Amino acid sequence: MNLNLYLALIIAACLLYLLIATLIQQYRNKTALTEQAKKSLYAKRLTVKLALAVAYAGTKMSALQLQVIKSYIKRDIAPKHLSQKIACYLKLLFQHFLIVSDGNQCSRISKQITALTDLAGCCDILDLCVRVVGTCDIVITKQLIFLKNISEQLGIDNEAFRFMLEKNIPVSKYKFEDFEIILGITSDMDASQTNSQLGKEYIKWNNRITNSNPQIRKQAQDMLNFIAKAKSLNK
Amino acid sequence: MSDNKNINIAGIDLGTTFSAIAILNTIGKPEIVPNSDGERITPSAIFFDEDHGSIIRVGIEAINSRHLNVSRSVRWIKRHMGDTAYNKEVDGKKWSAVELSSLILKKLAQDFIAVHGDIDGVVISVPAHFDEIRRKATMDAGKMAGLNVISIVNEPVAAALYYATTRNVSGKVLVYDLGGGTFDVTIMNVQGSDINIICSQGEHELGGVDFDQKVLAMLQQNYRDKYGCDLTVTDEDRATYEDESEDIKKTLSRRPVARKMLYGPSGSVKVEITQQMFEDAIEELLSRTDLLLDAALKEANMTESDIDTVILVGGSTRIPAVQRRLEKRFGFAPETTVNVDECVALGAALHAGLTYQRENPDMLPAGITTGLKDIKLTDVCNHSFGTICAPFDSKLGKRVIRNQIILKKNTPLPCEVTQTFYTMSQDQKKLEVTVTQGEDTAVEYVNIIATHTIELPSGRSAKCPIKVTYSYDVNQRMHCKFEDVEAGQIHELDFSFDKNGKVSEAEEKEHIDRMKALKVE
Repeated sequence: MNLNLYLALIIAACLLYLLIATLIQQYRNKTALTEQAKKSLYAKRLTVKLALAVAYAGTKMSALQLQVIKSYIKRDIAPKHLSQKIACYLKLLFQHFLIVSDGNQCSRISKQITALTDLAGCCDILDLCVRVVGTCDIVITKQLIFLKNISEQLGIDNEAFRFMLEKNIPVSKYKFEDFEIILGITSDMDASQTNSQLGKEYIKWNNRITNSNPQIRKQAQDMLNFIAKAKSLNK
Repeated sequence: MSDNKNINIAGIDLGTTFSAIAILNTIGKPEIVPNSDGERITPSAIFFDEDHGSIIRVGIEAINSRHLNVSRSVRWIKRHMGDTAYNKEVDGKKWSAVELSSLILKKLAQDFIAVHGDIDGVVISVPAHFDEIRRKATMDAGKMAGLNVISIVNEPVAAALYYATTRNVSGKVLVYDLGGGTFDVTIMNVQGSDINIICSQGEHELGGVDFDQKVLAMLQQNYRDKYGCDLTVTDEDRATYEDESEDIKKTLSRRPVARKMLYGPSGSVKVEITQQMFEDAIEELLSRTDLLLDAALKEANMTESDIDTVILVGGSTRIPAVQRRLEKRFGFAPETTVNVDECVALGAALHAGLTYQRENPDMLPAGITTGLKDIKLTDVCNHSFGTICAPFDSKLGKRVIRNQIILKKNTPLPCEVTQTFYTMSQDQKKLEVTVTQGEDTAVEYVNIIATHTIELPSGRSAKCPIKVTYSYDVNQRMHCKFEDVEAGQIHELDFSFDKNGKVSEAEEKEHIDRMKALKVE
């Protein structure tokens, strides 16, 4: 990466930070914030950073990802103060914000968040990150690992994490190579434990195959095929 | 009990690809009733005749006409059963899955009546995994066809009933039912004429049709490899080669190689498909059958060595790879002494006899009563039923909306369970109650099969008890009531044509009359 790009990255990161700080300042000026509210707001600011990092774990940020993050900012950070001008500025900023996400950065942010918010808050944060990734056409391994690490760092158990994946990301967006993360198979499992986990997943999705929601039915059918493929591999 | 009464009791296997009807004869033995063509099974296919608008063809003629005009043809309708969004439009009329199924039932009944006279009562079989909505839809289809549907029975249970009463089967029995469109595994304990179902697991979309699609994909690939273009251009082409694929699959169950000429838009090509190629193509589907077997054994808390007999049901069990796989897994060959296409209808007729014996014993002729007297069947509830509530999650520190299971899957029938819930707030004016079906705690993954609003008296404190009682009867139907304990009021929920509201008797009669007026051949 050349010097110019590094500079662009630093400037973009600073600009984003300034922007969110401005938004929060505006909000502070209007309301007398309690200590708890301050913590909460800070946690949300970190959440945006985390979501951005997750988004950039893909190739580039899409308009949909931008939309998800913007909606979060509008709803949870500055509901009344996100003027049209700021929104446009934010959009431009996001579009040109070519950061390369790294695990250490995410880990640091996640730690800060857990110190500021409770488990319910952490679930909301992970939910935002999963939704951001869910807007991608294809979810790449790096993004999935990012999400998994974030969930661990936020203290969210694997079941809850995978439940969020199921709800927000259609299985058709995954690459089959990532089946272990998607199906909850861990590296310490032997063949029999892997089979047992596949069986558990199979029962779960088979029970959903007659759901009244066509999208869930489709996801269930795709998941059954996905699990069967993994089972063939584990024979 | 009357000795002279003549009563026609029937059992129907309403299958995805084929259907069959059986009668319980005067000594309580079931017999298949052949259709008007003399065939013992009838294709579950419908064709709306172009030249004779008033005639609807059901069966082999519908199959033969399908490749002429796919838009007027219907196959595999069972896969859409209970799907309120599905309809087939022909000549401006939209046909629901229930109406289309009723046409198939009408044809079966018509052929039965021509030989034996009116049907007094019938039991229709459904896949074990069919949910409440699909079960109700199947019963409604029967009613529309003018039948007196006295009960429904799970397909593997019907098959096991037939095997257990006609063959020497005992101990832990696993019924492996791989049909045209669905797959069920049921495990039961058979001791003499006592049949106790332990559990059932099923797949909604796994069967012969899916194997046919794999063969079709091979044919298309062969053609593309030779000419670089698609074999099938129109829906009619596709229908033709779907039928050809089914033929190839059947050939490969008897011979190691199947050969076929393909006539596509760019020319013809001769293809050769071996059993090995076919087995490789369906490997993933067979992996799914393995997974379902794992699930059933786990649910029954058993291993392969606990199973004494494996019974095969459904045409797709003729595939050699299926039988080989089972033999390898269980260490003995599966039972194949009965026609796998007929045993469900035969068992359904037996089930109909048992239903009469339980509910209207005086109506049964002595011969049937004697024939059935030793059979005792205990079935289980095939799904979990629950309600939506908002308990406090101590981990999250807030209330969460979740599905609370009240009646657990595999509870022996009949059964009744009561749980008490509490109102949430002071002066709560009303309570939205829901009945769910499904195994998940997450609300989005279960089906809401009924809802009801209970008005509460004003001025009440929070945490007033509401008793919720669910029961499941031996006819595989669910009942539920919500009791406002303080007010002493009981609200019973009624399951209707669809989850949005009950269809009035007048509307129901109109449906039946309309179907009655149609001519099915």
